[in-house]
Amino acid sequence: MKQSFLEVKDATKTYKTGAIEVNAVDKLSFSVDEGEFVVIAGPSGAGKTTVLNLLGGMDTLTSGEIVVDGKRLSGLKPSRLTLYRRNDVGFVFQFYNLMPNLTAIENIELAAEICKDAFSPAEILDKVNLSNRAGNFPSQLSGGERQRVSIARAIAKNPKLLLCDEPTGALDYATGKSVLKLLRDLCKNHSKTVIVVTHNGALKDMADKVISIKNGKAVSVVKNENPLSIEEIEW
Amino acid sequence: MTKTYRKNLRKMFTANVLRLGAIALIIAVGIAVATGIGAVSSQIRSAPEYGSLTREQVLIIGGIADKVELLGNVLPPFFIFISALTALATVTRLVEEERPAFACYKTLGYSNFSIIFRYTAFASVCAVIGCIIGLAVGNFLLRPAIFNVVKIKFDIPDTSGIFLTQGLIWSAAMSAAILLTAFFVSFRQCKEKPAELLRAKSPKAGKKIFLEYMPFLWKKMKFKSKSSLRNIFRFKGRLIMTALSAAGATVMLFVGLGLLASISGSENEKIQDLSGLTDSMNVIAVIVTVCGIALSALVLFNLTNINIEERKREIATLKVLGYKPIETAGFIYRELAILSIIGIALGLPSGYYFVGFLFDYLEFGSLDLIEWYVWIVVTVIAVLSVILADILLYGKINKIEMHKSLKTIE
Repeated sequence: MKQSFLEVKDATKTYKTGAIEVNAVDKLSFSVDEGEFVVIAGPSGAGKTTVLNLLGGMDTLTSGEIVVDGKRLSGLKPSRLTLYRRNDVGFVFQFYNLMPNLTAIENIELAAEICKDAFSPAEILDKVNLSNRAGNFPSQLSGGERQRVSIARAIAKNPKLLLCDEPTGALDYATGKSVLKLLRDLCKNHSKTVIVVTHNGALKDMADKVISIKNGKAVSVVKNENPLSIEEIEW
Repeated sequence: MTKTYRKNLRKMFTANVLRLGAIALIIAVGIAVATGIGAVSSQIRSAPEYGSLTREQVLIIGGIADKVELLGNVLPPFFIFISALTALATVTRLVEEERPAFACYKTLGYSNFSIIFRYTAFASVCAVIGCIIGLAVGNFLLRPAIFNVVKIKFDIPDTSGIFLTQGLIWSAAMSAAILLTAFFVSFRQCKEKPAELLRAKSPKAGKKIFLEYMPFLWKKMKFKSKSSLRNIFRFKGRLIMTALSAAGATVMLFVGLGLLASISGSENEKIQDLSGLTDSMNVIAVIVTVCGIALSALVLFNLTNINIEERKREIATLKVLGYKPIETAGFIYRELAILSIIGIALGLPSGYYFVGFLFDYLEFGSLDLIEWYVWIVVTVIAVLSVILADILLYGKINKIEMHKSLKTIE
């Protein structure tokens, strides 16, 4: 059987504060195929962000395995994990995390500069329709524009995997929808694997696959044969 | 003062032990120098009438005591200034970190006094610990080191005792400066309305700097340098504090090494007479130089430490983007390097003129005796202390955890 692009097997992440141990992620298992648009849904505190941090190489597993495109993340040294984050992953945060003292285009250059196969920052900025704001600082951009710069930064790296943590969490309804459309189009038109974490259940209908998480465990993994387009979903 | 208030106060102390220690140490360095030098002149003058000395020698010894006392009056203000700057930066950072707690206290109706007391208490503890250490080191270590030189030359009997008058006076002055700084910072924060305090402080906006309007220069610069330069001008307060601290430490180094150079290269007849003065000045010069180095490293370490804490988010983001540890650290190091260079460039000529003034004031030594190599040695030592601060901070930058630093809105 062909190995999936992304494989999570019995992943567990335990946090210890003093004598108390908490399993943020508890024997979690699921797989993702290349080019899939996946939504990881679940209530607050379910462990969704922890999963994303683990997939993105920002945190390490306590036990279990994560394999991305044949690479076992758990076995990697910190220096190798850095390279993984550099070349294979693009991360989109809920609160953008742009460099406040760099312009929009420079924020993208910051990420692209260190990648092997990066796209041209100017081209990507154009793709998110922000060419006219290239010279503006984040403080001069609206929330939606900042998020688009953040997405552009992630895409410019030409990563295998795009991880988005509540990308529309801080945005209004209309802006949130346009951001999601952007992500969906990227996934379809460039066959990028996109994983979106959200507590907004309405987004489930637009995904190819929906993984529901509760208390750190995968409650269900559902494949969507006919995902709806962005215009069709409401929340 | 409620039980919870006191408990919270204790928590603040335990959470900030490192900062407390850093400020206390910086204070201690200054007080040690002030106490040590000041105590020497007291001790010399307190020696009983010694029959084995000629009248001429007694006059000379008195002259030495005079000159040492003068030096002891001129140097401490410098140390107080640098210590106050450090306290300003640290307490400002502490107050900013506790902004949500600050807001809570205000909305719950705690008086301004109780809030201000919190931070002045912190500063007081720093000052008390620092002064005690400084007084002890100054009196038991530095004073004997300087006095012994005079004692051996002139065969003065060892007068035991504790000569703390000058040390205590300067401790009072230092403590007042530190407390005023803490009071000023917390008072300023108290003036903000509770509603504003509850809202997170928005990060300072990025701006184009004047260099960007010179395209022929700007285009040639590497991307990383552009980022560092913009950031430096973004935080004018920190620019001034770091540069001034580096300048102050450089001046201190110049004084120490300038004194040494003028002693060793001297053909001054006056100095030949006061051969005991030469030796004691040697010891003092070495002490001042060592303190200059210690101060420089401590202050730059502390300021950069604060800088890193303020920018945890940015550093964590760089790590997520896949920047290697040394590249991430480079972002911080570059800024510190530029600020230090500005500071050292300011400190060198200032140090030169200050030493000139000192020589006139003491009627000892001359600027002609300061050879070209003094400038180079001072610069090298100053640069080395920056590198030392860099090394000490590498671990901290590396340890910043991505998943922790990028969670909250802040």
